[in-house]
Amino acid sequence: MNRKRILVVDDALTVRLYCRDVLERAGFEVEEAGNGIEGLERALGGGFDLLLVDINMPRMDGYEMVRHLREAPALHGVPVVAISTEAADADVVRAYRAGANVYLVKPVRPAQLARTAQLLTGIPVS
Amino acid sequence: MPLRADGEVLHLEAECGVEEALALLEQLAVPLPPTVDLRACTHVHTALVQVLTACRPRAVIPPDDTFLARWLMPLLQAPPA
Amino acid sequence: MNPLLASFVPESRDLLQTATAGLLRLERDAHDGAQVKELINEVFRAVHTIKGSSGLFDAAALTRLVHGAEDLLGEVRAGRLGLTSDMVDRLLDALDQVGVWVDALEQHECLPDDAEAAGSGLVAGLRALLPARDGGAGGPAAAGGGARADWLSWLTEAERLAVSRRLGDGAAVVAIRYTPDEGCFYRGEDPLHLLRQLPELLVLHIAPRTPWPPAGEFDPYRCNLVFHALAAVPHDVAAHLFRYVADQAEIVPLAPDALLEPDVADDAPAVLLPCLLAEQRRILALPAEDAEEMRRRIAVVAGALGNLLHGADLPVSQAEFDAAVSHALDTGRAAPLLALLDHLERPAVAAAPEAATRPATRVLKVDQERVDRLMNLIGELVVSKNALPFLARRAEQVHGSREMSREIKDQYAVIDRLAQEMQGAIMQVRMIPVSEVFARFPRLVRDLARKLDKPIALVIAGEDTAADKTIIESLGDPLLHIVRNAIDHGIEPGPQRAAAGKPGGATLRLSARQEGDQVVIEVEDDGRGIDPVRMRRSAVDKGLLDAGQAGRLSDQDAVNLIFRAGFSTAAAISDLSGRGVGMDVVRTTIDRLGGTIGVASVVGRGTSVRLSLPLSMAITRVMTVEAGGTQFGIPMELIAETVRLDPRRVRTIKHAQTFVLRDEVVPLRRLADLLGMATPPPDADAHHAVLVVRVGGAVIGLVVDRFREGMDVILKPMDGVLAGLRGYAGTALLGDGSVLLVLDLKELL
Repeated sequence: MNRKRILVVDDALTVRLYCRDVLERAGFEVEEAGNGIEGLERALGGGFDLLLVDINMPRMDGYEMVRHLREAPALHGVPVVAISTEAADADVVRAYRAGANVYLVKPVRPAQLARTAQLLTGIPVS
Repeated sequence: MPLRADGEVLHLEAECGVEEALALLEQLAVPLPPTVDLRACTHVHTALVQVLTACRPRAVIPPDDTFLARWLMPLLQAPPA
Repeated sequence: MNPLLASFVPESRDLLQTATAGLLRLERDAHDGAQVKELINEVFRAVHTIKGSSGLFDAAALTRLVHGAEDLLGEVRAGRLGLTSDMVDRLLDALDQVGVWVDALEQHECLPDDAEAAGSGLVAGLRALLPARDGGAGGPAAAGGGARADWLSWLTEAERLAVSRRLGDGAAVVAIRYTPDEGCFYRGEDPLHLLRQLPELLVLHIAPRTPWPPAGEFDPYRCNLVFHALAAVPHDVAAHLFRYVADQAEIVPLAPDALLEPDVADDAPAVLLPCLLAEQRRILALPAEDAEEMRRRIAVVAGALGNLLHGADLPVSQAEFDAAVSHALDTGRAAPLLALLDHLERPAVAAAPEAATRPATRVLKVDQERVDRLMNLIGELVVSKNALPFLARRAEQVHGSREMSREIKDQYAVIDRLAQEMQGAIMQVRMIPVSEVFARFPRLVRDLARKLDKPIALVIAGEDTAADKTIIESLGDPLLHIVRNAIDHGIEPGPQRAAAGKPGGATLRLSARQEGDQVVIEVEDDGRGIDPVRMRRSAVDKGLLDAGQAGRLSDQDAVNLIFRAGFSTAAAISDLSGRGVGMDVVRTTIDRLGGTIGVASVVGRGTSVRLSLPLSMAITRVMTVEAGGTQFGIPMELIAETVRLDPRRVRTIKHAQTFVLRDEVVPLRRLADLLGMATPPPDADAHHAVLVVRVGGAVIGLVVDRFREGMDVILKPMDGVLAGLRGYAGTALLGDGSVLLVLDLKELL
């Protein structure tokens, strides 16, 4: 079976490395984008099974990126996980209204990240 | 008069002290208890909290008092254990 | 080091630098609204990113401190606070502290023991600048670590987050379990009233201790409640409040990380799946502006749900799911999906599939040490490839295989080209921008300017100009000294400037640019300039020159006296540019880098110091030898081997001395003779130290007094009167300040 592909969009290199490490160990193929614009371009190019999007980014933040993304009907069905350091309810609602499926607060534990990705990409958990 | 029955509504008003506990219990421990209106209530003594929790009136109008609204209401609205 | 930490360290240093530079620029040229906004955003984001990444490590104090800085910056960004110098000071202090901690993380992979204490003061300082909002929330975190109350596992996710945030802010939080006596009401106690007194209640759970008895037996005057509370108050405040019921209340300070401890159960799909489903339900329940938005949301949720359905063993068939989705999309209402979610309450079982392991390897930033190591290896490759021509000759002469010899030579040509390309490539990798050294100056100039009360605007230009890392790194100290000199001696105090009709604020310009294969760095000030008359007088006073010599100096030469050893201008040594380092040391450093330094000055108008350095350094590996009592360098690539030769093996053929090395007759020359040095004849019995070199296809043995160590030097061509000397490739300045002459054997032999 082909491995599921995940796009990690975060401006912090360390966070990207972390996500890559965790997700690759969990059997995913991981690609990275360093800001919202790049992330949007990559995502619109298609081929991803899941998007992991940081909220606070330069140039284009996560809300805006996800909102633009969801304007493309072909991308409605791709699960989006928003990741942020903010835990306020208003931020969660904003992310959901923009089109995220899940909102995780940093730091995200490795198992939580891997399992969330597995569940959302439909990898069988027997 | 902190406890005031008005038809099918029981109003708890201002500061409701411990001395109201038995009266409140009498009002609520009936087959068809009234709606409890806490709007004008500024404080309920813990003994009354016990009565409200134990009797679980079917309808409660939330208090304006923020402390009670925030901390007491979840208790009165939660499904019975 | 943990690879994540290895990435975090340089990343946060970059971000700290960005934040610091941004703050300084904000303070200095906070004029243009749009630019200010952009700068604040930049600083905020840098700090925010550090906060986000730091959460991955065991560095709670660091996270709290950057969080404090972030909150303050957030207020500034939102326009609720104006940026003041005091604020900048505190933010800079906080960033400095974070920098120190990043160093500690790099060295020890943990924060120093006093981090908590050091951080809390800084956090408090930052919080003090925030507009009062949350009441008396501040204060250091509970000392002594605090406890983890066992009932905390009851907290809902929202409560947990709310409390974590307050803890993250550095607030002291206490956990209270209050079990009033059954007869407490008779003593006039009202537990709920007491709890009302807690200043900042974060969580309050009220529950019966035992199930309520039937109505008939229920006694409202017997207290049967237990209260669990979390409040953001210091422990002593809470203890004071509960002092009369101390035996009924358990009050423990909450450890800063009490709620962050990984709760393994959270990660199990059995727990995660219902959470994910609940979130999808929540998304569907959010109000939508129109049917269009709702349809989009249904599609978004359907995508995730479809996958969940696929992976987890959910009790809904694909057909049921598809029907619900299309029904929802058709009607533009979430109800069918919500109904389906109602069916999905059953938790999924078991663990995730065995994780495939494949280590992450994409590294974007490379440790400088690794580049250096690569550079050294390439250097060694260059030297060892030089053995191949020798091998080729042996193949032909000793083993009689001309063909083999040619093949080796062909291979040598290939390896030689590759080695040279590698050398060029690694030189490119080593190029770094001068901003690496310029970056420290905004802060330094600001601090010095404030200390001396001389308003100075620092202008930096051309910081993208790149040069070899060794050059850039060695520039730090000389530049520091030049800049300090300019601020300390060059720029006049305000009143003097005013008297001279100059603007009160001085300008210091630090610029870099590339000129041919040189990088030129200039430090210009608009200060008082260097007075040649004073310089001459001073040189005479110090006994460096006599009055006649001084008088004959041109003005420029007089100004250049600042580079003379032992010269430091009259009112010179202050605590700033002190440190006993003069411009002569600066000049020596620049010389060693193969560069030149010049100074131009106009009295009353200012001074400009110009450094010109090679863009990349031709690093030459040499072997040092001693001949005639003097040390010389010989390029390593010419050396085939070193031999200790018994004098009895020396044969004289037609007046020429030779010896046989592996069946090959090698001519022997004394290096001292080649250099025309008068030396006593060598001790007849002692072994000769012979350096076998290969020059222009010929193999020659050079007799030297002794071999010394090999070293990498930066070769500087012979200039001035020495330029005409034959036999020398150039000079190199050694670490001890002495000059090494590097021989050009092609010319000598």
